[in-house]
Amino acid sequence: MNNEKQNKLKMRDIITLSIFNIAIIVIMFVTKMCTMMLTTPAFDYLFYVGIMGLLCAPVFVVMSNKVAKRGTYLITGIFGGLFITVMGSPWFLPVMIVVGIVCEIIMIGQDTYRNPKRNGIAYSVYWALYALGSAIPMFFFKEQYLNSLKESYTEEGIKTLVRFYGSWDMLLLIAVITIVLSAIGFIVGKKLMKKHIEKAKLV
Amino acid sequence: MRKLDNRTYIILLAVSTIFWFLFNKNIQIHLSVALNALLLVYIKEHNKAIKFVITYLTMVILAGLFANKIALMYIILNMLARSIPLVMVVTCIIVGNSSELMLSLQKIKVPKPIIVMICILIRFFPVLSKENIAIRNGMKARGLFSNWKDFMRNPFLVYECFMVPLIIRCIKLSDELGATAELRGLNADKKRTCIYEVYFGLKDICALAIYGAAIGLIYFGV
Repeated sequence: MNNEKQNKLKMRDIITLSIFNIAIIVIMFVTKMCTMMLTTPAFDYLFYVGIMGLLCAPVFVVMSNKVAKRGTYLITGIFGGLFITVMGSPWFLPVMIVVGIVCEIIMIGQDTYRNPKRNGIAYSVYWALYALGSAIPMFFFKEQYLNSLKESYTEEGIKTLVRFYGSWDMLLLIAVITIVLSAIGFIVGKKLMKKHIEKAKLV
Repeated sequence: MRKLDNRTYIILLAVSTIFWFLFNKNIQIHLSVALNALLLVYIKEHNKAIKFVITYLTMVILAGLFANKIALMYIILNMLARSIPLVMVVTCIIVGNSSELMLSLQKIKVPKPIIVMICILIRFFPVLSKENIAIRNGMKARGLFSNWKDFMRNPFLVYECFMVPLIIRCIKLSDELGATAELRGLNADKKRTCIYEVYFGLKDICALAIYGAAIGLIYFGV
């Protein structure tokens, strides 16, 4: 009973999660803009979620170790979804909620958030599913999606989009790249936390 | 004059999101920007309305200029321009009073954690950009990375020197804000009361009807 009570999110935890998630959103936004402006579309499609996972990892590691309660991934997912909704893809919010629930299922158990292996796996899965989620409209309502893009994309842009999000082999490649990059990010984040934040006894 | 209720804005946001997704011509987006500008003018945010319209026009014109030269810029500008109508409706919520927003959301039975999340989300973006400036000033004061060459030479160090202060500031801010929230009784089980009057009146229904009719006209008529 006591354990159950401790495992529930309190207002203080929710505030912590919100503030850290805003930092994550800002990093995500900057990453997306930079990859879009500075690289080719092909690189953008293949790598951008992976790079997001790489750069957001230190913030996320500290957040999940500080809160360490069930619901961390779900709230992160909701925040990610809200951000993308405002950026112009409202269908992404339910996808992100599902992703958050999947990650919560991975994290079932005692004190898994402080266990680097479990947390790392869930973190990689989170970003991989995020990357795959971007391809959902290509499978379920392709015609309408491409129609809505027709005026704002060039012919070539749509071709690249279909090439990368419309075929299974490319999606697999994207997932693998994302998992590798976010796992690297997680390890770096863990090291940074050990080097600076645990020493200062802030977690 | 009482502004519209926050629940109205939420419904408007949902409606305009659905239609926005169905729009497939650029002229429809142009018209919805005009409609949302009218909405902003109606709630007396003239400056914001003018700013958004000017930004939108600049983006569309630039995209037109880039159309046959740099395909990538065309796509980026179009994507940003397309999100402006939605950002305009979100602005209506952001410029309002967060106390009123909390009461409105409480009335439609949104769980308290989500209300707190939304309020922090709205209030904390400006704070974070201030932190960003403070971190850069701190770097300058210590003479670190004074020019672009240093930035390019050791990107990992830059990343570390930027991330760690950011994380520590986030921890400090969340501790302080958590303590304040508990002190003010956000943890209590009782319903929150509010000094402002919030209700869903005739004006809101009229606004919804007019907005719905206009956006329907844009979709089916154009």
